[in-house]
Formats: sequence, C-alpha cells, structure tokens
Amino acid sequence: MQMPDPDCDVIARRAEIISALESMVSDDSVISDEDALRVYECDALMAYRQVPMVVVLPETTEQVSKILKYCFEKKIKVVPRGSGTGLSGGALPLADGVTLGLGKFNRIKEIDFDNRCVVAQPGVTNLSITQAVESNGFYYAPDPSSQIACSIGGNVAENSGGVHCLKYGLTTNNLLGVEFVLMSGEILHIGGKHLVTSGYDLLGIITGSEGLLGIVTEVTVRILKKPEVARALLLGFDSLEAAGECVASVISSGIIPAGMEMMDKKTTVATEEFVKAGYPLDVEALLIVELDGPDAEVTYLIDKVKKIAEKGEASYVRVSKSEEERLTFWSGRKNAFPAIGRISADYICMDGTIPRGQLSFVLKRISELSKEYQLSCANVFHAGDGNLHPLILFDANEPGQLSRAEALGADILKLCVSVGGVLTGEHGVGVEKRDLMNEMFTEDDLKQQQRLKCAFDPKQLLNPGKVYPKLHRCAELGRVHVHKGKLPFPKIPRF
Amino acid sequence: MKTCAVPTAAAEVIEIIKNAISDDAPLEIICNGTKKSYGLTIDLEHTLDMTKFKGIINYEPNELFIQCRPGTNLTDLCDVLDANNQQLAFEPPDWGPMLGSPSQIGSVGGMVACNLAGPRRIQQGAARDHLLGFHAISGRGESFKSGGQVVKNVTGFDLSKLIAGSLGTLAVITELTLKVLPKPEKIRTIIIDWPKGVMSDNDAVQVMKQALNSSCEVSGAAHLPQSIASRSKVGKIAEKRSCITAIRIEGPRTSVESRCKSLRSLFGKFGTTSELHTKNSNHLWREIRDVTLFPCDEDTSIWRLSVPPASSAGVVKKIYKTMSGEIFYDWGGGQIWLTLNNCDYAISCQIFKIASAVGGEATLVRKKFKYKLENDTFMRQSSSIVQLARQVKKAFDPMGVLNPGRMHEGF
Repeated sequence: MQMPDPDCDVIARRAEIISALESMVSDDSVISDEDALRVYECDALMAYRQVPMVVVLPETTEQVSKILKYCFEKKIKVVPRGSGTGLSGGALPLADGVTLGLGKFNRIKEIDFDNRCVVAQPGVTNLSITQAVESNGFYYAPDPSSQIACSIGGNVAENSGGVHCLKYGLTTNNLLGVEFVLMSGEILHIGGKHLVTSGYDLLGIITGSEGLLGIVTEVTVRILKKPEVARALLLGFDSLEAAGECVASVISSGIIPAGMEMMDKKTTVATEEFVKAGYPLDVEALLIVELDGPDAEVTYLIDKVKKIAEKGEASYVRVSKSEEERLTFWSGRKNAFPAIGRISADYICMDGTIPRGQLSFVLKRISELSKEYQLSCANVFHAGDGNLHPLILFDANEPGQLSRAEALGADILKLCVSVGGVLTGEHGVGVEKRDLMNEMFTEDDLKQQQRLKCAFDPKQLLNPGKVYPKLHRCAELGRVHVHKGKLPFPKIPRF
Repeated sequence: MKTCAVPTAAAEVIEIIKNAISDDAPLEIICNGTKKSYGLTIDLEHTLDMTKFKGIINYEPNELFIQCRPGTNLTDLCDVLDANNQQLAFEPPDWGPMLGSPSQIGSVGGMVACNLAGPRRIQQGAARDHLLGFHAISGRGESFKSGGQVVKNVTGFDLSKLIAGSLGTLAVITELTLKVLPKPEKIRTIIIDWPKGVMSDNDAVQVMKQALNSSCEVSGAAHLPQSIASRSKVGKIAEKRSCITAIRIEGPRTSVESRCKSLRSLFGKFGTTSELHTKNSNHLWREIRDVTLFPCDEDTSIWRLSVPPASSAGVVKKIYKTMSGEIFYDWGGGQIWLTLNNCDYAISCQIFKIASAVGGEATLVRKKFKYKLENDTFMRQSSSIVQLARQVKKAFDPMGVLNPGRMHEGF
C-alpha cells in the first residue's frame, strides 16, 4: 500500500513537535514512547500497520483547535482516530503524522427527551447512547455490529449503518448537529436540535467523510422511542437463490422489515458452533427477518412474511416466541465475524452493495471466483439493502495467500460495481478500497470530490493517503481552463 | 439582451457553461421557475432552462429507486410511483400556489435543489435523505457523478447531501436517482378538538410531544389554530370551529386501528378526539404540506421557522408580543409557519433573533410582493461558516457562473 512519502523535515522535528503538543494538553496526553505508540499502529484493518510519529489525546474542543492550528501552521499531517474499530484503515497512522485520538471525549453532555435528542462527545460509544436513554424507553437507531466499542464520532466519520438501517437509516439520517474543527483550528457549529439549516448541507457532507474534512468534537443525534415489540423469523432455504427471491418478495409486497440478514451455510455452521443459536445446519441459506413496531402490526407482518417464505419454499421457518429467543436468533449473526475467525487463521471482510435483484448472480460469481483463487469464502449480508459482507478466508502465514485474498476481494468489489452496485456500503474506503475508486468513478468524478476536500483542508494535511488513489495539489485542482474554441453546438447562444 | 438556453443533452449543458465561463456571463439555472422567488432573488441576463431534461430513465419498484431527469414533473413522477403503490416518503410539498404559481407544475430537479420535505420529515427526512445519486455538470463545465442507486453507500464523499438544497449554485443536475418506499396500506389522523378558551399553544405542543415520544410511529404532528383550521377543505375539520391538533398514523389496518386507540385514550383528557380516514387524511396533510391554509393574499409574507420542537410555543408567544399574523405548527412544533402583513427589515431581524435565541433558524419563504427583490431571506450564518461555504462554492463553480448570489450574498 503506497502511502504519501513521509516528510523527513517533519520527522527531524519530532522532539520539538512532541514538546509543543505537550504544552497544549494535560499531562500524560501525549504518547511518544515507541512501545506505547504500537497500540495505535492500526485500526481493525490489521493487515496494514504503521507506528505514528506521535499520538495526542486532547480532551477539550479548544485543545483540538490548538493542536490543529499548530499542525496547520507547521504543515504537519494529522490522522484522526476514534475507537480504532474501523474496518477500512481510515485511522491507519502516518510515519510523519500526529494521530489525534478522541478517546477522552467520552461524556454524554445532554439528554433531551422533550426534543428527542442526545448531545454527546465523539468518543462516547454507540451503544452507550442507547444505554443512557433506555431507562426512558428510548434508543439510538443505527447499530453497527461493533456498537459496544465503536465511537459515535467514528460513526459520523464513516456514516455507519448496522442491521436496522433498512428501516431507520444510516448515521447521516439520524444526525442533527455537530461541533466541528477545521484543519485551520477554526471551530464550527453546524445544525442543532432543529431540522432545517440554511446554506449548504455541511452536516451531510461531513458525515461519511472519513476524517478528511475536519474533526468532530460534539454530536447531536436523534433518539427514538423503542418499538413496542420486535419479533424475528428464522427462515432456511435449500439454495441462496431461493433466499434471495424471498428477500425480493418481501420488499415487493410493501414490507420494510427492521432488519433482513442472510448467512450462507459456511457462516451458519461456524456461528452455530460458536454461539449455539439453534440454527438449522441442513440449509444452504439462512434468513433472519425482524419486524418491529406496534404489537398488532408485528403480528400481522410476521404472518405475512411467513406466508411469503412458505410460498417461496422455505424449508425451515421459526418465529421467535420471546425476546430471549429473538436475541438468540441475532446472537449468531452478530457474532458471525468472530465465529469465522475461529475456523480460519485470517479473513478479510468485503463490503460491497448491490441491487437486491442481482443477489443470486453475484453469489454465484463469488463462488466461482473463490474456486479460481482457491480461497474459501463465507457470506454474511444485510440482504434487505443489498449490502454484502463476503469473508475471504486465508492464512497470512502461507506465502502469497494475503495478496491472493486481496486480489479476490478486489474482484468481488469490481463485480459489485459492474452490476450497478458500489465498493463500500458501510465500512468506508479508507486505504483498503482506495485503489479501487477508479472502478466506480472517473478521474473527473474523483477530482470534483478532491476539490471539496481542498475547500476544507487546502494544505491537505488531514488524513492524506486515504479514500483517494491519487493526491493532486489543490492549486492544480483549482485551475480552470477557459476555452475559446470551436462551437460544437452553434445554436446555443453565446453571451 | 436577455438570452435563454434550453439544452436537451448533457453535452449542450457543458458547452453552455463553458461559454458562460469564457464570456464571464453568469447563468440563472431554472426549471419551471415555480420557486424562483424562494432564496435570494437574482436577476441575470442569461438563463439556463432545464425543462427539456424530462422523463423517467429507470424505475425499479423492487429495488426501491427511480432514476429521472431533473425537468420531470414532480406530480407525474408521483403518479407513476402511485400506480405501483409506492411514494416519495419525504412527501415533497408543492410550493407553487404559495409562491404564486399554478399547482402541480414544479419539477423534480427544483424539489431537490430546494431540499423540500413535507410533514413526514420528522420520520423520513427530507429530499437530501432520499437522493441516492446524481449526474451533474459543475460550474467548471465538467460532467461528474456521485452516489448510485443503492441506499447503503459510503463510497467517497456524499455529494448528494451537498447538491440537495444548494439552489443550483454548485452544479446543474442532469440525472438523479431517488429512493422510493411502499405506500402505507391505511392512513388515519387523530384530531384533538380543543375546547374553546382553556388551552394554550403549549398544551398542543405537549400533546404532539407525547405522540412523538410514544412508540406509535407517528408520521405527522401538526397544530392548527381555529382561523387556519376553518379554511380547510376537509369538512370535518372546518366545521369544528375550534383549534385542532392532528396526529397521523400509517400502516396496515390492524396496526393503525390499535395505535389510534391507544393514542386516543392518551389524549381523551385534553378534548374531544375523532379520526379522519385515508382520503380525508391525505387532503388535510396536503393542505399542511403545501401551506395553503393561509389567506391567499399576495401582500403577505410567509416565514418558516425551524426550531427545537419543545421550544415552539415559547417562540410563537414571543412573536405575538410584537407582531400580528397567523401561525400554524408542523413537525411536532419543529416547524412553525408564520404569515405577516407588514414585514420590513426590522421585523425580519426580530424574527431571526427569536429563532436563533432557541438555537433554531428562520427563513422568509414568500416575500411580500413589493419587497420582491429584498435579500433578507436567510438568517445570517457565522462568518466561519460563510467563509467555508464560499470555498465550497469555489470548489464546484470557481468562476461563479451558476446562480451566483442565489444562496449567499456575493457568491
């Protein structure tokens, strides 16, 4: 993985930079010891590692602002980091960069039931927002599988989804406001507890920007009243195609389930061995369909989905009869990644999204590709929204297997794009899919996105080397070629 | 001399924009012009008219998306969805009549450019939340795209959010894809009919809060004072001759019935409750959505205040201390519509001040006829936000040829 060339001048000034940072934050908030820095050498994409030049852990917005201003003036690169659970290497450090960790921003500042929102610092975990409001029957809807550890600031950076985003949306649909610090140190307040903000939708563009535009120091998120009940169906099918068709039939019948997840046989068997969820082991595809809402509605819809499944030749149908049983259904799915971790030395998790109608075709192609590359593949996915998570199993100790696994992963993502899908549904581009961006975007598409980056970060110091395969200087991107050429459309008026 | 270019293909749009750059002749980007008076008013020599970019390109009901050209008539698009029992869940309003145009002529592109949203905003978001992707021509005269046709997509910056609501100042959309959702089987509206004289707006806001804080999945919560309610074309509303609070419930019949029952038992103590069924509900929420319940008088201005919902009654009280006009509440109080007879610069400042005091915003949506060219439409933003907005504009339109001055003064 080619990262921007380290700036030797900056590395030579390391001691000076460390002491400057130390003067800006409280004691023990700058990490410069080689062993201690290793903790930060990667995020959850562990194939890529780099020890950062220095780590700083500010605890106030003013400190973040000071640090960024200093780095901006001294031309020092900065890599923001939340809980380090990102799966695409978005928080991969730079040898000449300051890793700015937001772990100390761990307070919930306000719970406002009257306006149905919570104001929290970015280091607060996703799950603890729900925990803070659940005694009043509320919750925060987006629920990425890493919700016990991932931070809400990281969720904003990645526009995280989860199993319930089919009905409740992604982070971007549940975020009301942020406090945000630009690379120049400028502090901005965007949005709040109201819904309409005039001017450009800066909140929308910050969400999912993978730490390239600025650093979020406070969020205001929408909370919802918990549904009256939630029940789930466990449906087994003799083929992945039949399961895929069932998904399409449910959607086309006008039902939007709270969640609709699919696992293939390999994943089902692995998770069953791991968590004993009571999954049937003789089916090729397992679907979990969850309906939530008022009791009467859930009862009605469960019955409707059951009928669709039976008509679609489901060979196994089970409806949760208690909350405990519903959670057991989910326990396997939520633990699918660690369960695969038990049967394979290593795995990489892909994250493409495809149109639902292409599900059977794509799964068939994945299985063919997996044979070609002689690597096994387990499939878990958010079937309702077409977000696939093929897990490619390999052993990093076997020479050549990692690069083969990566090549297979790249082919799977190219396949997703070729059927009208996208490279990443929720894990982000980071460094992992950076070099595949040209599969989906033209050079002009990417340049337009990078011009936006320049509007926020003209010196390109914030998280460089992520998301975009080629770095262009902002001055170069900003040039306009005024044309005075021939007129291909002579009828169009000239002014 | 005024000119108007009406391109039919993206290549022509590119050429027009490139000509505008080289001739330093900025363009006013319009479709049908039904919301021309919304935002800062600009008066340019040259117009780029997108009305010929019409038609649905691809509609896949099972994939829950529709792809079309920006000049497509919004009503036509909604009819196509309706025939498949689907809808744009964010309920885009038809602001035509409010802004002095005929109804049902607004375009999809204009709707996206203004980031419109109806009463279901509280549950389903606005146009920004449903724009999955687009193709556009930037102010550099370059074609680019962003997003795609699937909901779950974090590949690159989410430019759809930025384009939605940008009033055509960043790029000219040539194709766009919107998320669509199934229509609910049944719609009911619980009407709380307040006894005269004993209630305050705050009581209504509390009721809406209770509804929205329940697990009943409320998709609309509005409060109409008597003068507004009496103008409704829904007989059951107008004939009540009292102020009403309306709570909308949607879904399968059994579910709607049971939720109505539980909400009505909650509200019984406040006043008489009754229910509107699907047809009447649709009618009432359309009146609320399109803001057609204000007196039809070109000489009045219409304001929209977006505030934290719980603060709304207090905001209205403050407004009434010094101004006289009519109001109604939508979005559980989060959106206040206000009409004023005499609105001048001083009053605008006062409204902005009242909204910002609670952390909200105010927008002058319909300018009083004789103030048509006055530019106190949007609340002033902090200088650092304006500076960033200027850079964002420059990133897409460095020469300032697309609707300059339409969103921010000076760029």
